[in-house]
Amino acid sequence: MPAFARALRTRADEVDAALAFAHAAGVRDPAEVVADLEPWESVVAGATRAAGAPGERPVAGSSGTSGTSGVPGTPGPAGASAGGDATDQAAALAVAVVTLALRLAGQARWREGSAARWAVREVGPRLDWWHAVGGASAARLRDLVAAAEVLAPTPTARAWADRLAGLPDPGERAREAIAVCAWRSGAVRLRAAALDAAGALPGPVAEAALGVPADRVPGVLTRAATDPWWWPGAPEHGVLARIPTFRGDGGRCLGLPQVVQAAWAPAGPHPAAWVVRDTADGTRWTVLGDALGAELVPASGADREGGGDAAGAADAAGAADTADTADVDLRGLVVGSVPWDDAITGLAAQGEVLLVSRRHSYVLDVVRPVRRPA
Amino acid sequence: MAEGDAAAAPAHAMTLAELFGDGAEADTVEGLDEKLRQAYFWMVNHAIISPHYDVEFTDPTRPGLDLPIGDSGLRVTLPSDQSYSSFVLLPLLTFAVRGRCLLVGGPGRGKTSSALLMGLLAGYSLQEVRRAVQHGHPQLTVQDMFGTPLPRDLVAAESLAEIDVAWRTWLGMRVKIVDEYNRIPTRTQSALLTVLADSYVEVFDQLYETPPAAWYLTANDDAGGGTYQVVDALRDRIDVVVRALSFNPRFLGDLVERLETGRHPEAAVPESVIFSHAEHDALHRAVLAVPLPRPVRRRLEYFASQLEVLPEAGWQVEYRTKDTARLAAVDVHDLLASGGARDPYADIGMQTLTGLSVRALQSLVVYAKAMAFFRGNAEVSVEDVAAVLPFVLHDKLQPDLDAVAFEEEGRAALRTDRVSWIRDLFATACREYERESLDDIDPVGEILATLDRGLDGVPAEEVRRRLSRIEGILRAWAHATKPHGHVVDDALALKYAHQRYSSYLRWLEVR
Repeated sequence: MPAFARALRTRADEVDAALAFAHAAGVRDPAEVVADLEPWESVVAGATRAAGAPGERPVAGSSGTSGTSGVPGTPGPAGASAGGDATDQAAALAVAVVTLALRLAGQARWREGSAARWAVREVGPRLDWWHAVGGASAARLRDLVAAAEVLAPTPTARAWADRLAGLPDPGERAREAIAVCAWRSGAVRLRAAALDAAGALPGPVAEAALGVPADRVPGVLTRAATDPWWWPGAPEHGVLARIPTFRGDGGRCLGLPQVVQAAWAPAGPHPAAWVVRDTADGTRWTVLGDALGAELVPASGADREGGGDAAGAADAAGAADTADTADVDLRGLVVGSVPWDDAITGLAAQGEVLLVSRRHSYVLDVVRPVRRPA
Repeated sequence: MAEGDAAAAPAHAMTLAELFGDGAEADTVEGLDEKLRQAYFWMVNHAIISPHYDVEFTDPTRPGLDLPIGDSGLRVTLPSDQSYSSFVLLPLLTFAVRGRCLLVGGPGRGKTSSALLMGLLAGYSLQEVRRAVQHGHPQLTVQDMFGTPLPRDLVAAESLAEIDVAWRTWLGMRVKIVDEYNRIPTRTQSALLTVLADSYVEVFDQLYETPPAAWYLTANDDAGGGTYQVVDALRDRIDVVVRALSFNPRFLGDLVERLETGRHPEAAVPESVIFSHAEHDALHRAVLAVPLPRPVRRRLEYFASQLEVLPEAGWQVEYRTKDTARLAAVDVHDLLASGGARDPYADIGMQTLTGLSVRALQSLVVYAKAMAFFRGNAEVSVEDVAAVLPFVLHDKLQPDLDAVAFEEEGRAALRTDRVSWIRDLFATACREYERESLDDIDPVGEILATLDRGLDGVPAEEVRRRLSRIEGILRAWAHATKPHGHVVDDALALKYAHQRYSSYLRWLEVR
């Protein structure tokens, strides 16, 4: 790793301090951790080249900056400054990467398969953010690792990393960009925060993060904030989303899920939410969802207390017997809107959208009936 | 549809600050020791009816009272300094250092309840903690405990690497509880060992890295009465063993009041004693930063040295240990008894069949630091070490129950009261250490300190002088001392220094 090693040598004191921390924290082989950072070689080399490394500095007059010396072929003050900055920024980046990796190793977070290592080794080097970040690189790396550790257990992590890799440099809005990419990739718990953050992103960044043309972003955000199930290109009626719940497929339920009630009112920028019961062990889960993703989280007491009118709280065996008139009406709407023929075991409405469970599937259907419920 | 609470952010919503773990890197430790003490007192005053104060401290300026009761040798000690209940304090210190605590005792003595409280201190809800408790039973499989491969991948995957595993939630928690661990089948115990010792678990070639956590294991009977024998390596990984002492019927009134009011302390843990993730990290760092001063460290070295040596087990000095005898399947007691030259009382190594492992010493140092931190001390004291020693070494130091020291009048009870026995061992070692004035006389320590300063630029003449001093000390020991444990270890340390100097001298001479 010649460029990486060169960059580190310019800040030997900081690297020594990071190594000393690693030794004190019981890291057996810090050199192995540093060697593990090989994917950063090309990034640091690129950052060094971006404005010219020593010996390759753009000469005054050709650097495109003002303040030239007026002597062709002679490094002028502006050129020297730009080259020096580039070298400093590459060094700052390399030191930030090494310091973070050693710190993570000292905290037993740097291991094969760990989210933190994945973020630093595989996500970070793919980003086009580093050529001019300099001293801010440490904070950006920390944010990246923190977000990866939250997202890694969910199926959204890979999509999130791919989406981040397609972003232009978000400048001061790196945190917002990371969060918006996570939501757009399916991290539904971030919905409210991301809707708020997306408005602050520069146009090209918002376009890449959301996958929506820049001029349409404000309108899309406004409409999405009022309807969790709306997104450009998403179906507006019928089955809006199918949510797998079986633990064997990466869900949370051991037995068939049964919809119990709506969890809270679907107003504002928050996701839609329902409470479901795992019929195998009685555990209650809150299903959070919007047009971009869904997640099951352990149900809290507040979810149940804040619930709606429990339109379909019948148990799996006697669903048809216990249904009241309104329930029957809703069931009729569902039957006309779904492509399957099965016994409904539970359903609950949030506004005009229903979550439906059925007797022979672990999948929950989010349905907007063709005709609005009464 | 309820509309009233629409404006409030639902509990599951995540903010940017939560996504980026703001505050998780907090380095502040201000007030964490006080918070730890508050947690302790909340537990003893409100949560666990625990009138036992068996971890005693004495104010050196105010001696406590030691009073006989009847004529059977029973005594009660009234400590003059704040004393504590081991059943609450040791689990709490385990929480602080993210160690591994085994709670033993008969059914219904609050072992699991105590562990649950630790989960609540970490900020988890009661429901989350209860869901995360792993209940040991004879049919518990590795996949039950850690996670199952996704069936869709089992069908579609072309290699093991493509099989995703649905990991159990408890693996990611900062407090992990395994109830009745001695009812877990041996194979599952081995997998548990990997998580406990190396913080990762493997299922179908997939690895899950577990975060640092405090572990609580419970056992009704840790002396082999479980369904399965506990794997030795698993037992060895446990840092402290705490006994759930019997309920004192004089406090039945408290129990009745709790029954009548239906009060569940675990449902009302005060916010002020809950440690956030960042505080938990900072707490651990703060404990590790408590210094272990040299006089305390020297006493600990002296104590450990006494336990391993067994001159009758070998010829070469390095192999004259109990471990040599054990590996040769020779009865350590017989060899100890055949020695004859050692004092069966003052030489504490005569009372044990084993020495101390490095792991045991590490646990001892960490828990002593935690005790000092908890008590608000700036550095570890001998009293802090003495307080945690019996619980750390409870299962790690095996007594020679046939030793002469147990036959003395009044000492037979130490065969069964292991906590008191270990306390007595340490007290005896400290007395011997002071009798030999080893705080003031430590030529070996001086030699090692000189060596630690490095060899760069040391001239050959100086090296020869130092070599001569080492040889002089060893020659002086030929007739003036008995081969007690610390002498043997000092001799080995001198041999090490001698080797370093000799090698350096050879290099100087040939370069």
